[in-house]
Amino acid sequence: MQFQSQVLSNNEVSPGYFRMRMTAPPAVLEASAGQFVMVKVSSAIDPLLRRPFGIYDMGTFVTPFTDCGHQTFVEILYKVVGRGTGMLADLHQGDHLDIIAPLGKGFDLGDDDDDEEKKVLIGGGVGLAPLYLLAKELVKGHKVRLFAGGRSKEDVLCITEFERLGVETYVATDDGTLGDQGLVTQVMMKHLATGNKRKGSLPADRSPCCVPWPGSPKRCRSPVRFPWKRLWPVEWAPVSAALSRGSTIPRTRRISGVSARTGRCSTRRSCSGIRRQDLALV
Amino acid sequence: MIQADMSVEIAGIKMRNPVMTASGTFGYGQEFAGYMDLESIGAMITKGLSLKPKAGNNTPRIVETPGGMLNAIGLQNVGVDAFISEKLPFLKKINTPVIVNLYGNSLEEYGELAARIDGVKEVAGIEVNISCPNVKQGGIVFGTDPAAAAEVVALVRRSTKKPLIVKLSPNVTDVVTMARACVDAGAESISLINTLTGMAIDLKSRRPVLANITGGLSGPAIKPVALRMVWQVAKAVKVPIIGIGGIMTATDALEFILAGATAVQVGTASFLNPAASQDIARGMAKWLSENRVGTVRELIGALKV
Repeated sequence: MQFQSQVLSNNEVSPGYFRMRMTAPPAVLEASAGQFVMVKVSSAIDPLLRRPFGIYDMGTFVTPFTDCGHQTFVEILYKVVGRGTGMLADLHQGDHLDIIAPLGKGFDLGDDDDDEEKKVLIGGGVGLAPLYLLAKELVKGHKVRLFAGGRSKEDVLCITEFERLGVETYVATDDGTLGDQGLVTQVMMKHLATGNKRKGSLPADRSPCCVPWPGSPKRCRSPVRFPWKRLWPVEWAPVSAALSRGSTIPRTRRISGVSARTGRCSTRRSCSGIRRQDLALV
Repeated sequence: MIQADMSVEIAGIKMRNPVMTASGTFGYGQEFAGYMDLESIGAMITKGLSLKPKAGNNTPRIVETPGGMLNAIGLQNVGVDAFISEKLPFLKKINTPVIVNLYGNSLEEYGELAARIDGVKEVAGIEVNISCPNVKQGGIVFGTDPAAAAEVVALVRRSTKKPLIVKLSPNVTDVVTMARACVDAGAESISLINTLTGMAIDLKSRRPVLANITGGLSGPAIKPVALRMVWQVAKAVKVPIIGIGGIMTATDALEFILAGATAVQVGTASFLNPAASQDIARGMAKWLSENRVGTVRELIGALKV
């Protein structure tokens, strides 16, 4: 649905990263983790297109004004990478935005038959954003572990928020300024292996993870082999530009079809929002 | 205030107003049902159809540019069979003419496709795409040579009795020559312009942004070029013209009508505002009433020069 929204807050949570809360109609609460919003950052024709952001959080709060009752909100977590996000970062409480939400299909968690199953979430940098809503949902019935990565400590976001949910968090940074040094996937393998008697095996055969799209090894600066067979990459390919067929992934390359031999990924690439390499929006 | 008469007719297709959706920007109609009233516009043109399903080009295939965007989708579509069995049943229920945009990889394919569509009674008309800049065959090959264009149009004309619109490319030396060739070969209406070829470069990686290297530019950035071409072609041919190119508002649409267009197509605007075509149709009706213009047809080609 398309709606006019008002900025409730827009705070820099880490250098270059902002967390924005916006008003939304109550129907937005039907969104599921992994869905996204499209924001028109300016009513002018430049920048022309909307910017996609994964939903970080949503909910209601009681307004301080009498008779206003409950107000629904959505939150996004974004990194300033160009003109569009730069303009977004300049907005203040009370500013207006045109939003379309919720969009996309959200995380496909498959058949959730085992409630006791442990869940593992993996994300890097601003790619942690859509995992928060997923963690919020998963902690209701599962033990959830999060492996969060980033280039430096400034790029590891909102860990406290995950911990408040009761999520066991592990952090890895490329430069070692926070948590272990190295790629988050390597750190994850190490931790999961030590926690299990069988060498190198994972706690569950299928653990959801949200990782960068492995389709293009050429682009990855530090590719690591990834155990696709044992992990279960959740399909998250929001098709926002379905109208122009702009961002669809060829069916043969859908994430569920990724081969265990060729699956490669890099923690440097964010998996937030619509696949940015597709739309090349900044 | 008097309600202005917005109805127009293109090649025998009666439309409630002159606003159509441009091919490739409106999916198969159903995608927009939740955002607007599909019966508020004049006609819907669906995504370019080919004989066989097509996956399109590699990604990235869309990039934003100042006041516009480049795309190189490569005519991804479900193919004519799936269109008829899966997409048409929905469109059938909507009381708005459906025009099918089609393209072939070869001359024969254009003919075969037109013949397939000819038997589908729910399709009000055909728009022949001889102007897509993003596929090697089909598209632009036929769109830059008047003789080749005439050959395609004549073949399609022989293969179907449906109203026939031909969509022209602006990437030619003289668009008027192309328009004349198509009309002489049997086109009952000309729509223009398709996208202008362009490219975007990422300085950091020193690579083109689009996987296809070049793409088609659309959006407000191309409106002046489109207006000029519509004006030139409208003066040169007798058939109704459909103006396309960067139409974002009712004002833009009315400018095209003044330049000589009988109808307009809204494209890129639908990407940022899914209800753009509906808003533009309503805005035009409002402008006509406010300015005491009884019918939109009065404004066609009424440019004072």
